[in-house]
Amino acid sequence: MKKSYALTVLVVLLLVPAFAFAGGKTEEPGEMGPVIVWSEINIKAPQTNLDENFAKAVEGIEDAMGTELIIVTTPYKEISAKVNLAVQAGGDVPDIAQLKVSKLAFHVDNGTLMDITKYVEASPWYAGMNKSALDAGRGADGKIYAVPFNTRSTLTYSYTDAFPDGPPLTTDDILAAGPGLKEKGMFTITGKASEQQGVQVWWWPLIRTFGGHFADSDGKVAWANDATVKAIEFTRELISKGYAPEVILSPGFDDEIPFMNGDVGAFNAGSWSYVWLNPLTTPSGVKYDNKSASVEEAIKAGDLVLSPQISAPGSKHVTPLDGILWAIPVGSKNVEGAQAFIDFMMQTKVNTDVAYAWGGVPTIDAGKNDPRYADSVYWSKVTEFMSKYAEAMEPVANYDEATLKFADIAIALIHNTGKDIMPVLKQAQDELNAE
Amino acid sequence: MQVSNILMNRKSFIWLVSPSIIFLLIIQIYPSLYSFYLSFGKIKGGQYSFTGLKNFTRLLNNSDFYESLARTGIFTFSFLLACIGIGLILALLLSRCTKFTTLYMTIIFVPMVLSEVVGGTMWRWMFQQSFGLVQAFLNPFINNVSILSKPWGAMAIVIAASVWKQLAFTALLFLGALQTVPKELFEPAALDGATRSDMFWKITWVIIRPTVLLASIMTTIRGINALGLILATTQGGPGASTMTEAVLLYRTAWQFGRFGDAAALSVVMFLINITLGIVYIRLMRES
Amino acid sequence: MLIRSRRQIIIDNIVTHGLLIFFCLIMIFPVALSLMTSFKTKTDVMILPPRFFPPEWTLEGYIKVFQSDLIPIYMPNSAINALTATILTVILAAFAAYGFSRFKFKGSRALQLGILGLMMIPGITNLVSYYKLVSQLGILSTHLIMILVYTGFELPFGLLILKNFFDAIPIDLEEAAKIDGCSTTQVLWHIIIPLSLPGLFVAFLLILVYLWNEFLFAVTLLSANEARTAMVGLYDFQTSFEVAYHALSAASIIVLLPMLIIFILGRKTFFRAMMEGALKG
Repeated sequence: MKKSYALTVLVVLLLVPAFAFAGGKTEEPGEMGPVIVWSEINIKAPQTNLDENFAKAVEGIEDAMGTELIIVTTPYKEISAKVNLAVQAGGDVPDIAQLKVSKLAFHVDNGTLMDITKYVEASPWYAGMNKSALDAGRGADGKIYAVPFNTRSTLTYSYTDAFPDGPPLTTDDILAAGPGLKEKGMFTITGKASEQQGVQVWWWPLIRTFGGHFADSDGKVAWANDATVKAIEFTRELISKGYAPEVILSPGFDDEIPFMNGDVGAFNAGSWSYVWLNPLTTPSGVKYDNKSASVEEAIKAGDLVLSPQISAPGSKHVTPLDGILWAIPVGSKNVEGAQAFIDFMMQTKVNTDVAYAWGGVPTIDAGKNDPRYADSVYWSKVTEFMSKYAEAMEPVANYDEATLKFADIAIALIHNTGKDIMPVLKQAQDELNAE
Repeated sequence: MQVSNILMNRKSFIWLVSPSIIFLLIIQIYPSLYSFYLSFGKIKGGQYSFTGLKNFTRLLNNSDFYESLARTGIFTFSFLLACIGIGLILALLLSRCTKFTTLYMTIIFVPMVLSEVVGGTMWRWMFQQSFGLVQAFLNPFINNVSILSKPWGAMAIVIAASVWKQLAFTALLFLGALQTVPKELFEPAALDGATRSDMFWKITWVIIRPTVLLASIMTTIRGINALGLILATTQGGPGASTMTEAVLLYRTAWQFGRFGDAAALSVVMFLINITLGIVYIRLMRES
Repeated sequence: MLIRSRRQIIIDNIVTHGLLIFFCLIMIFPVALSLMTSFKTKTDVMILPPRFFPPEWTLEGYIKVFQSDLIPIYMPNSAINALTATILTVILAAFAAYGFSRFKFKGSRALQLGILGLMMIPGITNLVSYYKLVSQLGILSTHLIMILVYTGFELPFGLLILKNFFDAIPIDLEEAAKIDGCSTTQVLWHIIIPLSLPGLFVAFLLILVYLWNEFLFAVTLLSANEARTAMVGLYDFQTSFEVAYHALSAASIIVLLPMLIIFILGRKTFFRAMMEGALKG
């Protein structure tokens, strides 16, 4: 009897979760529910400048949409992974997710996002949207999976103190300036070369300008080429000769700090970096301390110069087109509300305000006429460089893995100066492409 | 053995134990079985498809796996040695003092109470290249090398931070064991002219050895699975220099969303944990 | 007695205390640094050369934290999740541990080892499974889910600690009580529990601290603003390109305080019980 009791308990126990796994969800029809957005923004209790500016930009959104807006504040690093998990495991999916352009291929490959081509093409803001920005929301199949709402790219900031004859434009310029600046106790260039961000802003542009590719047209990595070898050799030289601080290889954003302190001549910056560079001290000791206006002031005073991101000698500049986008995940319970949200966000004024809050460029072209962009020396340069040189990185299906892997091996190769570069690249490439 | 069963009959035993078993079945065993099932397939677009042993063969052909394994070894071994060594020294010191013992122990215990997220942020901040106080202090001696940017430096910091967090635990276990050492044993030894180190190795060590082994099991398992502090301090970097097996598992599951591959790696890690656990239990039985 | 001169004893004492103070300084330094950072202004965090003490003491960081949701929402959430799960774990584990401690049968040890073996499963293994389980049960983003998952997670550990304590309690008392006609529950309640309070406290404290600080499952399984826990809430002070270090430090200190206070209040019981052998294998 005891045994049968235990057995019954066991069977019941195993059945409970079995039902739980098998059971479907109930969906409630009726009037439009709230629009749930997963974003890094916290509008309920704003903590950062971004939060505050965003909250101001979206005032009145609930009346416009006719329903409640719930922004679930999510650590920015975790949004993408959470959306993927929610879709794959059938959990509570948000109606809108804030994602990065670089993660799009991953999501499309995993079937996480809805195809919204028809809706976008029929929307009132479609005509005013920048076409290359719109393309950043397309999957490899040409369908639209997301709406980019601000784009960003990279450029070089340099101090006139360090480069009196004009800013460095090529890798050779950097290497040529190195010994002189080193004598003055300065580094020549800094920038982020670690983690995924480093691949985006440092490695990929170098590889492209040296004439190579990161991935092929099938979304498989194809970095084992001479251009990559040259990019790594160049960076290796910077570090081993002391032209770049080693912190460019560290996780985080500590690479900005030596430039803020005037210890480095040039900075491979993002279009958003000005928000961070404060206070700013030039090599000769002039200090700019006016929040995010410091960079603009230094440019006007002639202490700081903007130039396109360095290229290979005699080659075209290439800068990465990145951006942030709104996407509707598969399984959203309120697609209609999600579309109302996007419609609101893509109004010229709102799009401009929000893009500005993030330190990016609005994706509705008319936004660039806004005085904040048109009258700023900084932004007019940025938009100029972007229209000339910005290119989206080749889509890579396993983007996270590929970029992290690349950053890992590039950094290991720099630390291990004697090691042959090509075989390492080849082996990593083969491993990633093995299925 | 049978004697104690007067205290309890089978029915009461089942009543006492079954709530826990129910919980474990639902919250631990059932999900684990599902993870095991996942390790033989992949999920895409919410759909599971069976792929056989593919996840395992891919894992075993991946150089990341072996490199992380080596790093896990280095990390765990250093972590273990430091926790046991320093923990024992601390316990010996504490056992010899008569005043302020609780005060010292309380201070030593503070890192244990702290979260890994917060602790890791603190360590990263101390070694930040420009504003890190410890980095700035060390700069003149190490030629301004940024410790966190060096593979060896990052590994050393991650180990130090983990030891810092775990030390109080081993120290306290040892302190408990030291108090079971009968003082009378030392007198004849001292009369025989034994030195302090003789007495330690011949008397104290013999008595506390089972505790040392127990602390070793716990520290080893903790070392192999250490994750939060490494993520908060270095995120596995620079490069992959602090990417242990646990960090690789985190990346595969959470960042890359490759749940099948991650499940396969979990199975392998589980086997490693269990094997080490069995080895230690054997060692304990023998001593 | 060991034959040692007075001088030797004094030197021994100085060396012992000197070394211990040195250790304590190292152990407390990161926390002290964080405490100092929390009293700095946003710009003073980044001055060169770095300084330990704030050049100018300010509560700027704390004010920012008090204006956030950390104290009114996130910390109560953490407290509900961690406390409920801890209490549930200790109760369930105490029942089971008492059962295993007093009822011997063939296979008992194997069953216990099997339960302890669950601790060998790496933490993230079941991320997807948990997510699937709780989303299908429809309890995603509720306190219930965290409480259930946490309890299941900590049960083996609680069992390990408490069984050691119960094993150390002599059985004569219970036998006498049994002969007087007490039921097993009565014995457990009136004899075992009072005698093993220190052990229960050790289990309670270790589990509570762990769960209060838990991050990975909280960030994965919860996706509603109202349900966010304190550890996840710390991310409110950083966005993709901004970290408010002074506020983050202030928040870290505030989040540490409840555990620190409980620990300091209960430290004597905790140390005594730990040393008597909460963990003997």
